[in-house]
Amino acid sequence: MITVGIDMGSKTIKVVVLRDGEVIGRGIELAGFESREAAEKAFDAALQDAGISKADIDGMVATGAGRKNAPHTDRDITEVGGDAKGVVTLYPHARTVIDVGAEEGRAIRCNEEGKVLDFALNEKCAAGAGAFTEAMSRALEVSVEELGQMSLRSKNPTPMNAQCAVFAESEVVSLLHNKIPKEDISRAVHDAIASRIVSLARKVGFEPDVVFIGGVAHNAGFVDSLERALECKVTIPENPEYIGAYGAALAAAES
Amino acid sequence: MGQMHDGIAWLEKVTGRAYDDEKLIQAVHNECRSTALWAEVCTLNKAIPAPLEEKTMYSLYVLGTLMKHSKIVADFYEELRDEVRERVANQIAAVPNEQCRLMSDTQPPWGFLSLFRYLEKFGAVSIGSLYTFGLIGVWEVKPDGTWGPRTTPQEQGVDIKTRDQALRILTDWNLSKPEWQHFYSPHLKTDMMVRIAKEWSLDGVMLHYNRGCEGLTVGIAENRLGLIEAGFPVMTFEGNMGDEREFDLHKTMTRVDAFMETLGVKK
Repeated sequence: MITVGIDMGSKTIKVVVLRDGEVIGRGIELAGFESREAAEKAFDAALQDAGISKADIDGMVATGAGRKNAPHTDRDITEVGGDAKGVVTLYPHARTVIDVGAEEGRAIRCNEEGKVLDFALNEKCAAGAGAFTEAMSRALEVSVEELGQMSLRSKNPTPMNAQCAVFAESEVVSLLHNKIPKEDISRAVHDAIASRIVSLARKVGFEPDVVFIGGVAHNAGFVDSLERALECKVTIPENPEYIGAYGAALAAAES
Repeated sequence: MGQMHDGIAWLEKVTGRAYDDEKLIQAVHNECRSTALWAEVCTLNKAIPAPLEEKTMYSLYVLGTLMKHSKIVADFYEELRDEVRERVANQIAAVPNEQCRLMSDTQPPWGFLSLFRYLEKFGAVSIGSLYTFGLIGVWEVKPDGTWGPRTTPQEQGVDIKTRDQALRILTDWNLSKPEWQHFYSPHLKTDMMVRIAKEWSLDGVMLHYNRGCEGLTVGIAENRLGLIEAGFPVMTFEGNMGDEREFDLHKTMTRVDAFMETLGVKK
Protein backbone atom coordinates (compact mmCIF):
# COMPACT_ATOMS: atom_id res chain seq x y z
CA MET A 1 0.00 0.00 0.00
CA ILE A 2 1.33 3.42 -0.94
CA THR A 3 0.24 6.40 1.13
CA VAL A 4 1.23 10.06 1.17
CA GLY A 5 1.28 12.61 3.94
CA ILE A 6 1.53 16.33 3.26
CA ASP A 7 2.38 18.85 5.96
CA MET A 8 1.23 22.30 4.88
CA GLY A 9 3.46 24.23 7.25
CA SER A 10 3.60 28.00 7.66
CA LYS A 11 7.03 28.26 6.09
CA THR A 12 7.65 24.97 4.31
CA ILE A 13 5.54 22.21 2.82
CA LYS A 14 6.77 18.69 3.38
CA VAL A 15 5.60 15.54 1.66
CA VAL A 16 6.38 11.95 2.65
CA VAL A 17 5.59 8.85 0.60
CA LEU A 18 5.29 5.46 2.33
CA ARG A 19 5.12 1.96 0.93
CA ASP A 20 3.77 -0.42 3.57
CA GLY A 21 4.89 1.97 6.28
CA GLU A 22 8.42 2.51 4.97
CA VAL A 23 9.55 5.90 3.65
CA ILE A 24 10.31 5.73 -0.06
CA GLY A 25 10.25 9.41 -0.97
CA ARG A 26 10.26 12.95 0.38
CA GLY A 27 9.73 16.43 -1.01
CA ILE A 28 9.97 19.92 0.47
CA GLU A 29 9.18 23.38 -0.83
CA LEU A 30 8.94 26.87 0.67
CA ALA A 31 5.26 27.67 1.18
CA GLY A 32 5.40 31.31 0.05
CA PHE A 33 2.18 33.16 -0.72
CA GLU A 34 0.86 30.51 -3.12
CA SER A 35 0.91 27.54 -0.80
CA ARG A 36 -1.17 25.31 -3.05
CA GLU A 37 1.27 25.76 -5.94
CA ALA A 38 4.18 25.11 -3.59
CA ALA A 39 2.39 22.00 -2.33
CA GLU A 40 2.08 20.71 -5.89
CA LYS A 41 5.84 21.15 -6.38
CA ALA A 42 6.64 19.38 -3.10
CA PHE A 43 4.19 16.61 -4.04
CA ASP A 44 5.77 16.14 -7.48
CA ALA A 45 9.27 16.13 -5.97
CA ALA A 46 8.25 13.47 -3.44
CA LEU A 47 6.69 11.26 -6.12
CA GLN A 48 9.79 11.59 -8.25
CA ASP A 49 11.98 10.72 -5.24
CA ALA A 50 9.80 7.65 -4.64
CA GLY A 51 9.76 6.66 -8.30
CA ILE A 52 5.95 6.45 -8.44
CA SER A 53 3.09 8.25 -10.14
CA LYS A 54 -0.07 9.77 -8.63
CA ALA A 55 -2.10 6.78 -9.83
CA ASP A 56 -0.06 4.52 -7.54
CA ILE A 57 -1.27 6.30 -4.40
CA ASP A 58 -3.82 4.46 -2.25
CA GLY A 59 -4.44 7.20 0.28
CA MET A 60 -3.37 10.70 1.25
CA VAL A 61 -3.84 12.83 4.36
CA ALA A 62 -2.87 16.44 4.99
CA THR A 63 -1.73 18.11 8.17
CA GLY A 64 -0.25 21.49 9.14
CA ALA A 65 -1.58 25.02 9.44
CA GLY A 66 -2.74 25.04 5.83
CA ARG A 67 -4.11 21.49 5.71
CA LYS A 68 -7.54 22.57 4.48
CA ASN A 69 -5.83 23.99 1.39
CA ALA A 70 -3.86 20.85 0.52
CA PRO A 71 -4.17 19.52 -3.04
CA HIS A 72 -5.18 15.97 -3.96
CA THR A 73 -6.96 15.17 -0.69
CA ASP A 74 -9.82 16.32 1.49
CA ARG A 75 -8.77 14.20 4.44
CA ASP A 76 -6.78 15.83 7.20
CA ILE A 77 -5.39 15.29 10.66
CA THR A 78 -4.28 17.93 13.13
CA GLU A 79 -0.59 18.60 13.66
CA VAL A 80 -0.94 17.33 17.21
CA GLY A 81 -2.36 13.99 16.08
CA GLY A 82 0.10 13.61 13.21
CA ASP A 83 3.12 14.37 15.39
CA ALA A 84 2.11 11.86 18.05
CA LYS A 85 1.41 9.15 15.52
CA GLY A 86 4.67 9.68 13.67
CA VAL A 87 6.86 9.83 16.75
CA VAL A 88 5.42 6.84 18.59
CA THR A 89 5.67 4.72 15.42
CA LEU A 90 9.38 5.52 15.21
CA TYR A 91 10.00 5.48 18.96
CA PRO A 92 7.52 3.28 20.84
CA HIS A 93 8.90 4.46 24.18
CA ALA A 94 8.22 8.13 23.40
CA ARG A 95 5.75 9.72 25.78
CA THR A 96 6.39 13.42 25.09
CA VAL A 97 6.73 15.13 21.75
CA ILE A 98 8.08 18.62 21.39
CA ASP A 99 7.62 20.17 17.96
CA VAL A 100 9.07 23.59 17.20
CA GLY A 101 8.44 24.91 13.73
CA ALA A 102 8.76 28.27 12.07
CA GLU A 103 5.71 29.84 13.70
CA GLU A 104 4.43 27.48 16.31
CA GLY A 105 5.73 25.43 19.19
CA ARG A 106 3.82 22.55 20.72
CA ALA A 107 4.21 19.97 23.45
CA ILE A 108 2.26 16.73 23.34
CA ARG A 109 1.94 13.98 25.90
CA CYS A 110 0.90 10.63 24.48
CA ASN A 111 0.56 7.01 25.43
CA GLU A 112 2.16 3.90 23.98
CA GLU A 113 -0.42 3.80 21.18
CA GLY A 114 0.31 7.35 20.07
CA LYS A 115 -3.00 8.57 21.50
CA VAL A 116 -2.73 12.18 22.59
CA LEU A 117 -3.40 12.59 26.32
CA ASP A 118 -2.79 16.33 26.53
CA PHE A 119 -1.28 19.08 24.43
CA ALA A 120 -0.19 22.71 24.71
CA LEU A 121 0.36 25.13 21.87
CA ASN A 122 2.18 28.38 21.44
CA GLU A 123 0.89 29.95 18.29
CA LYS A 124 0.75 33.53 19.54
CA CYS A 125 4.29 34.33 20.60
CA ALA A 126 7.04 34.55 17.97
CA ALA A 127 9.66 34.33 20.71
CA GLY A 128 8.75 30.66 21.12
CA ALA A 129 9.23 29.51 17.54
CA GLY A 130 11.74 29.27 14.75
CA ALA A 131 10.88 32.71 13.45
CA PHE A 132 12.67 34.13 16.48
CA THR A 133 15.99 32.44 15.61
CA GLU A 134 15.70 33.71 12.06
CA ALA A 135 15.10 37.26 13.28
CA MET A 136 18.01 37.05 15.72
CA SER A 137 20.35 35.60 13.11
CA ARG A 138 19.55 38.60 10.92
CA ALA A 139 20.20 40.95 13.84
CA LEU A 140 23.56 39.26 14.48
CA GLU A 141 24.31 39.09 10.77
CA VAL A 142 24.95 35.37 10.73
CA SER A 143 23.15 32.41 9.20
CA VAL A 144 20.73 30.37 11.32
CA GLU A 145 23.16 27.44 11.15
CA GLU A 146 26.01 29.62 12.44
CA LEU A 147 23.74 30.98 15.19
CA GLY A 148 23.24 27.47 16.51
CA GLN A 149 26.93 26.60 16.50
CA MET A 150 27.91 29.92 18.09
CA SER A 151 25.61 29.22 21.00
CA LEU A 152 27.62 26.10 21.86
CA ARG A 153 30.77 28.22 22.14
CA SER A 154 29.29 30.63 24.70
CA LYS A 155 31.49 31.12 27.76
CA ASN A 156 29.46 33.66 29.77
CA PRO A 157 25.71 33.06 29.56
CA THR A 158 23.82 36.36 29.52
CA PRO A 159 20.06 36.30 30.22
CA MET A 160 17.79 37.95 27.68
CA ASN A 161 15.38 40.30 29.41
CA ALA A 162 13.00 41.05 26.57
CA GLN A 163 9.87 38.92 26.55
CA CYS A 164 8.99 39.73 22.97
CA ALA A 165 10.71 38.96 19.67
CA VAL A 166 10.40 42.59 18.59
CA PHE A 167 12.02 44.02 21.70
CA ALA A 168 14.59 41.24 21.78
CA GLU A 169 15.99 42.56 18.55
CA SER A 170 16.57 45.94 20.23
CA GLU A 171 18.15 44.17 23.15
CA VAL A 172 20.54 42.29 20.85
CA VAL A 173 21.69 45.59 19.37
CA SER A 174 22.29 46.97 22.89
CA LEU A 175 24.21 43.86 23.89
CA LEU A 176 26.41 44.14 20.80
CA HIS A 177 27.11 47.79 21.60
CA ASN A 178 28.10 46.70 25.09
CA LYS A 179 30.66 44.35 23.52
CA ILE A 180 28.87 41.18 24.61
CA PRO A 181 30.26 38.40 22.38
CA LYS A 182 27.89 37.09 19.71
CA GLU A 183 28.33 33.59 21.16
CA ASP A 184 26.82 34.68 24.48
CA ILE A 185 23.99 36.56 22.78
CA SER A 186 23.24 33.53 20.65
CA ARG A 187 23.00 31.34 23.73
CA ALA A 188 20.71 33.90 25.40
CA VAL A 189 18.41 33.74 22.38
CA HIS A 190 18.23 29.95 22.46
CA ASP A 191 17.77 29.86 26.22
CA ALA A 192 14.85 32.30 25.89
CA ILE A 193 13.06 30.15 23.31
CA ALA A 194 13.81 27.00 25.28
CA SER A 195 12.26 28.44 28.44
CA ARG A 196 9.01 29.11 26.56
CA ILE A 197 8.95 25.66 25.02
CA VAL A 198 9.73 23.97 28.32
CA SER A 199 6.84 25.81 29.97
CA LEU A 200 4.57 24.18 27.38
CA ALA A 201 6.11 20.81 28.19
CA ARG A 202 5.60 21.35 31.92
CA LYS A 203 2.00 22.34 31.29
CA VAL A 204 1.25 18.90 29.81
CA GLY A 205 3.44 17.18 32.37
CA PHE A 206 6.28 15.81 30.27
CA GLU A 207 7.76 12.38 30.88
CA PRO A 208 10.50 10.45 29.10
CA ASP A 209 11.22 9.57 26.46
CA VAL A 210 11.10 13.07 25.02
CA VAL A 211 11.35 13.33 21.24
CA PHE A 212 12.07 16.67 19.60
CA ILE A 213 10.89 17.28 16.03
CA GLY A 214 10.32 20.19 13.65
CA GLY A 215 12.78 22.26 11.67
CA VAL A 216 14.30 23.87 14.76
CA ALA A 217 15.55 20.43 15.85
CA HIS A 218 18.38 20.94 13.35
CA ASN A 219 19.66 23.81 15.52
CA ALA A 220 22.34 22.31 17.77
CA GLY A 221 22.44 25.42 19.95
CA PHE A 222 18.72 25.25 20.64
CA VAL A 223 18.88 21.52 21.35
CA ASP A 224 21.55 22.23 23.96
CA SER A 225 19.42 24.95 25.57
CA LEU A 226 16.34 22.73 25.51
CA GLU A 227 18.07 19.80 27.17
CA ARG A 228 19.45 22.06 29.91
CA ALA A 229 16.01 23.55 30.54
CA LEU A 230 14.31 20.15 30.54
CA GLU A 231 17.14 18.61 32.56
CA CYS A 232 17.02 15.57 30.35
CA LYS A 233 18.24 14.40 26.95
CA VAL A 234 15.93 14.53 23.96
CA THR A 235 15.82 12.17 20.98
CA ILE A 236 15.91 13.75 17.56
CA PRO A 237 14.89 11.62 14.57
CA GLU A 238 16.53 11.82 11.20
CA ASN A 239 14.77 14.49 9.11
CA PRO A 240 12.84 15.86 12.10
CA GLU A 241 10.92 18.37 9.96
CA TYR A 242 9.19 15.54 8.08
CA ILE A 243 7.66 13.77 11.07
CA GLY A 244 4.32 15.58 10.80
CA ALA A 245 3.97 14.52 7.16
CA TYR A 246 5.12 11.00 8.13
CA GLY A 247 2.37 10.80 10.74
CA ALA A 248 -0.19 11.98 8.19
CA ALA A 249 0.95 9.27 5.75
CA LEU A 250 0.57 6.66 8.51
CA ALA A 251 -2.95 7.98 9.19
CA ALA A 252 -3.74 7.56 5.50
CA ALA A 253 -2.85 3.87 5.78
CA GLU A 254 -5.15 3.42 8.78
CA SER A 255 -8.30 4.87 7.26
CA MET B 1 -27.95 43.78 55.29
CA GLY B 2 -27.29 46.81 57.40
CA GLN B 3 -25.96 48.57 54.32
CA MET B 4 -29.19 47.86 52.46
CA HIS B 5 -31.19 49.34 55.33
CA ASP B 6 -28.93 52.39 55.25
CA GLY B 7 -29.28 52.58 51.48
CA ILE B 8 -33.06 52.63 51.70
CA ALA B 9 -32.95 55.37 54.32
CA TRP B 10 -30.65 57.38 52.05
CA LEU B 11 -32.98 56.89 49.05
CA GLU B 12 -35.93 58.15 51.08
CA LYS B 13 -33.95 61.17 52.22
CA VAL B 14 -32.64 62.04 48.75
CA THR B 15 -35.89 61.46 46.84
CA GLY B 16 -38.27 62.66 49.50
CA ARG B 17 -40.41 59.59 48.79
CA ALA B 18 -41.39 56.70 51.02
CA TYR B 19 -39.85 53.35 50.12
CA ASP B 20 -42.46 50.80 49.11
CA ASP B 21 -41.84 47.70 51.20
CA GLU B 22 -44.58 45.78 49.43
CA LYS B 23 -42.67 46.13 46.15
CA LEU B 24 -39.50 45.03 47.91
CA ILE B 25 -41.18 41.91 49.22
CA GLN B 26 -42.54 41.08 45.77
CA ALA B 27 -39.11 41.71 44.22
CA VAL B 28 -37.44 39.36 46.72
CA HIS B 29 -40.03 36.67 46.04
CA ASN B 30 -39.53 37.06 42.28
CA GLU B 31 -35.77 37.03 42.56
CA CYS B 32 -35.79 33.81 44.57
CA ARG B 33 -38.19 32.32 42.08
CA SER B 34 -36.25 33.43 38.96
CA THR B 35 -32.89 32.29 40.17
CA ALA B 36 -34.11 28.95 41.46
CA LEU B 37 -35.98 28.31 38.23
CA TRP B 38 -32.86 29.10 36.19
CA ALA B 39 -30.92 26.61 38.29
CA GLU B 40 -33.66 24.07 37.62
CA VAL B 41 -33.40 24.70 33.87
CA CYS B 42 -29.64 24.14 34.08
CA THR B 43 -30.20 20.96 36.13
CA LEU B 44 -32.38 19.58 33.34
CA ASN B 45 -29.28 19.65 31.15
CA LYS B 46 -28.05 16.63 33.09
CA ALA B 47 -30.28 14.68 30.72
CA ILE B 48 -28.71 12.80 27.85
CA PRO B 49 -29.14 14.12 25.21
CA ALA B 50 -28.97 17.65 26.59
CA PRO B 51 -32.11 19.64 25.79
CA LEU B 52 -30.21 22.94 25.70
CA GLU B 53 -26.77 24.03 24.60
CA GLU B 54 -24.72 26.87 26.00
CA LYS B 55 -24.98 29.36 23.13
CA THR B 56 -28.77 29.30 23.47
CA MET B 57 -28.45 29.51 27.23
CA TYR B 58 -26.56 32.80 26.84
CA SER B 59 -29.67 34.27 25.21
CA LEU B 60 -31.87 32.98 28.02
CA TYR B 61 -29.80 33.79 31.10
CA VAL B 62 -29.47 37.47 30.31
CA LEU B 63 -33.06 38.11 31.34
CA GLY B 64 -32.37 36.86 34.82
CA THR B 65 -29.09 38.74 34.91
CA LEU B 66 -30.84 42.05 34.33
CA MET B 67 -34.34 41.65 35.76
CA LYS B 68 -34.40 38.74 38.15
CA HIS B 69 -36.61 40.80 40.50
CA SER B 70 -39.45 41.03 37.98
CA LYS B 71 -42.51 38.80 37.82
CA ILE B 72 -42.26 38.74 34.01
CA VAL B 73 -38.85 37.07 34.15
CA ALA B 74 -39.88 34.68 36.92
CA ASP B 75 -42.97 33.69 34.91
CA PHE B 76 -40.88 33.33 31.76
CA TYR B 77 -38.39 31.04 33.48
CA GLU B 78 -41.28 28.92 34.72
CA GLU B 79 -42.50 28.54 31.15
CA LEU B 80 -38.95 27.81 30.05
CA ARG B 81 -38.54 25.20 32.75
CA ASP B 82 -41.76 23.49 31.65
CA GLU B 83 -40.69 23.51 28.01
CA VAL B 84 -37.27 22.10 28.80
CA ARG B 85 -38.88 19.40 30.94
CA GLU B 86 -40.97 18.45 27.93
CA ARG B 87 -37.85 18.33 25.77
CA VAL B 88 -36.23 15.98 28.27
CA ALA B 89 -39.33 13.79 28.42
CA ASN B 90 -39.37 13.51 24.63
CA GLN B 91 -35.57 13.27 24.26
CA ILE B 92 -35.42 16.38 22.12
CA ALA B 93 -31.73 17.20 21.84
CA ALA B 94 -30.09 20.57 21.40
CA VAL B 95 -27.45 18.86 19.23
CA PRO B 96 -29.18 16.00 17.37
CA ASN B 97 -25.96 14.01 16.86
CA GLU B 98 -24.75 14.47 20.45
CA GLN B 99 -21.74 12.25 21.01
CA CYS B 100 -19.60 14.41 23.26
CA ARG B 101 -20.54 16.51 26.30
CA LEU B 102 -18.41 19.44 27.38
CA MET B 103 -18.55 22.47 29.57
CA SER B 104 -16.81 25.80 29.23
CA ASP B 105 -15.76 28.37 31.81
CA THR B 106 -15.89 32.14 32.23
CA GLN B 107 -17.68 34.37 29.78
CA PRO B 108 -17.23 33.29 26.17
CA PRO B 109 -15.51 35.40 23.52
CA TRP B 110 -18.75 37.27 22.89
CA GLY B 111 -17.97 38.23 19.32
CA PHE B 112 -17.26 34.63 18.30
CA LEU B 113 -20.11 32.51 19.59
CA SER B 114 -19.93 30.64 16.28
CA LEU B 115 -17.30 28.59 18.11
CA PHE B 116 -20.18 26.74 19.81
CA ARG B 117 -21.75 26.02 16.43
CA TYR B 118 -18.38 24.65 15.29
CA LEU B 119 -18.46 22.21 18.21
CA GLU B 120 -21.76 20.89 16.90
CA LYS B 121 -20.05 19.68 13.72
CA PHE B 122 -18.42 17.10 16.00
CA GLY B 123 -21.68 16.32 17.76
CA ALA B 124 -20.19 18.08 20.77
CA VAL B 125 -22.53 20.01 23.05
CA SER B 126 -21.48 22.47 25.69
CA ILE B 127 -24.04 21.89 28.44
CA GLY B 128 -23.17 25.10 30.25
CA SER B 129 -20.57 26.14 32.78
CA LEU B 130 -20.22 27.28 36.36
CA TYR B 131 -20.55 30.79 34.92
CA THR B 132 -23.77 30.09 32.98
CA PHE B 133 -25.22 28.12 35.89
CA GLY B 134 -24.04 30.34 38.66
CA LEU B 135 -24.12 33.94 37.52
CA ILE B 136 -27.80 34.04 38.34
CA GLY B 137 -28.61 30.51 39.44
CA VAL B 138 -28.83 29.77 43.13
CA TRP B 139 -28.11 26.20 44.11
CA GLU B 140 -28.05 23.80 47.00
CA VAL B 141 -26.92 20.26 47.67
CA LYS B 142 -29.99 18.06 47.62
CA PRO B 143 -30.62 15.12 50.01
CA ASP B 144 -29.18 12.71 47.41
CA GLY B 145 -25.92 14.69 47.43
CA THR B 146 -26.34 16.22 43.99
CA TRP B 147 -26.66 19.86 43.01
CA GLY B 148 -30.06 21.28 42.31
CA PRO B 149 -31.99 24.53 42.58
CA ARG B 150 -32.10 26.04 46.03
CA THR B 151 -35.47 25.65 47.74
CA THR B 152 -37.15 29.05 47.72
CA PRO B 153 -38.65 30.72 50.82
CA GLN B 154 -42.07 30.37 49.17
CA GLU B 155 -41.52 26.62 48.82
CA GLN B 156 -40.59 26.50 52.50
CA GLY B 157 -43.83 28.26 53.37
CA VAL B 158 -42.15 31.48 54.43
CA ASP B 159 -44.42 34.50 54.27
CA ILE B 160 -42.34 37.70 54.11
CA LYS B 161 -44.01 40.42 56.15
CA THR B 162 -41.41 43.09 56.88
CA ARG B 163 -38.64 45.01 55.19
CA ASP B 164 -36.07 43.52 57.54
CA GLN B 165 -37.23 39.99 56.81
CA ALA B 166 -37.13 40.67 53.04
CA LEU B 167 -33.62 42.08 53.23
CA ARG B 168 -32.42 39.20 55.40
CA ILE B 169 -33.73 36.65 52.91
CA LEU B 170 -32.27 38.61 49.99
CA THR B 171 -28.87 38.75 51.67
CA ASP B 172 -28.79 35.11 52.59
CA TRP B 173 -30.04 34.07 49.15
CA ASN B 174 -27.40 36.05 47.29
CA LEU B 175 -24.50 35.23 49.57
CA SER B 176 -25.15 31.54 48.96
CA LYS B 177 -24.66 31.95 45.21
CA PRO B 178 -21.90 29.60 43.96
CA GLU B 179 -20.49 32.25 41.66
CA TRP B 180 -19.37 34.32 44.65
CA GLN B 181 -17.73 31.48 46.54
CA HIS B 182 -14.84 30.92 44.19
CA PHE B 183 -13.47 34.40 44.73
CA TYR B 184 -12.28 33.07 48.07
CA SER B 185 -10.24 30.21 46.67
CA PRO B 186 -9.62 28.55 43.31
CA HIS B 187 -9.97 25.21 45.07
CA LEU B 188 -13.62 25.98 45.88
CA LYS B 189 -14.16 26.68 42.21
CA THR B 190 -12.38 23.48 41.21
CA ASP B 191 -14.66 21.51 43.54
CA MET B 192 -17.74 23.03 41.92
CA MET B 193 -16.42 22.46 38.41
CA VAL B 194 -15.56 18.84 39.12
CA ARG B 195 -19.05 18.38 40.58
CA ILE B 196 -20.61 19.76 37.38
CA ALA B 197 -18.34 17.60 35.21
CA LYS B 198 -19.41 14.47 37.11
CA GLU B 199 -23.11 15.18 37.57
CA TRP B 200 -23.62 16.42 34.03
CA SER B 201 -21.70 13.40 32.64
CA LEU B 202 -19.03 15.31 30.79
CA ASP B 203 -16.35 14.02 28.44
CA GLY B 204 -14.15 17.10 28.63
CA VAL B 205 -13.81 20.75 29.54
CA MET B 206 -12.91 23.84 27.51
CA LEU B 207 -11.44 26.63 29.61
CA HIS B 208 -11.44 30.17 28.27
CA TYR B 209 -8.37 31.97 29.62
CA ASN B 210 -10.33 35.18 29.48
CA ARG B 211 -8.29 38.34 29.82
CA GLY B 212 -11.49 40.37 29.94
CA CYS B 213 -12.61 39.26 33.39
CA GLU B 214 -9.98 38.89 36.07
CA GLY B 215 -12.61 37.97 38.61
CA LEU B 216 -13.77 34.84 36.87
CA THR B 217 -10.38 33.92 35.45
CA VAL B 218 -8.45 34.15 38.71
CA GLY B 219 -7.13 30.70 39.56
CA ILE B 220 -8.20 29.16 36.27
CA ALA B 221 -4.85 27.45 35.78
CA GLU B 222 -5.40 25.80 39.18
CA ASN B 223 -8.88 24.77 38.05
CA ARG B 224 -7.32 23.13 35.00
CA LEU B 225 -4.97 21.08 37.14
CA GLY B 226 -7.81 20.09 39.45
CA LEU B 227 -9.99 18.93 36.58
CA ILE B 228 -7.15 16.92 35.05
CA GLU B 229 -6.47 15.34 38.42
CA ALA B 230 -10.15 14.40 38.62
CA GLY B 231 -9.77 12.61 35.28
CA PHE B 232 -11.34 15.09 32.88
CA PRO B 233 -9.54 16.06 29.65
CA VAL B 234 -9.13 19.83 29.44
CA MET B 235 -8.52 22.16 26.54
CA THR B 236 -7.55 25.79 27.09
CA PHE B 237 -7.88 28.70 24.73
CA GLU B 238 -6.95 32.34 25.15
CA GLY B 239 -9.17 35.30 24.48
CA ASN B 240 -10.84 38.38 25.82
CA MET B 241 -14.59 38.69 26.15
CA GLY B 242 -14.29 42.45 25.83
CA ASP B 243 -11.73 42.83 23.05
CA GLU B 244 -12.19 40.99 19.79
CA ARG B 245 -8.61 41.70 18.79
CA GLU B 246 -7.38 39.27 21.41
CA PHE B 247 -9.13 36.22 20.06
CA ASP B 248 -8.13 34.12 17.07
CA LEU B 249 -11.13 32.08 15.97
CA HIS B 250 -9.24 30.06 13.38
CA LYS B 251 -6.47 29.07 15.79
CA THR B 252 -9.04 28.21 18.45
CA MET B 253 -10.93 26.02 16.00
CA THR B 254 -7.64 24.25 15.28
CA ARG B 255 -7.27 23.62 19.01
CA VAL B 256 -10.82 22.26 19.06
CA ASP B 257 -9.89 19.92 16.19
CA ALA B 258 -6.92 18.62 18.17
CA PHE B 259 -9.01 18.29 21.35
CA MET B 260 -11.69 16.33 19.52
CA GLU B 261 -8.97 14.01 18.16
CA THR B 262 -7.79 13.55 21.74
CA LEU B 263 -11.34 12.60 22.78
CA GLY B 264 -11.70 10.27 19.79
CA VAL B 265 -14.59 12.31 18.39
CA LYS B 266 -14.90 12.75 14.63
CA LYS B 267 -17.06 15.09 12.57
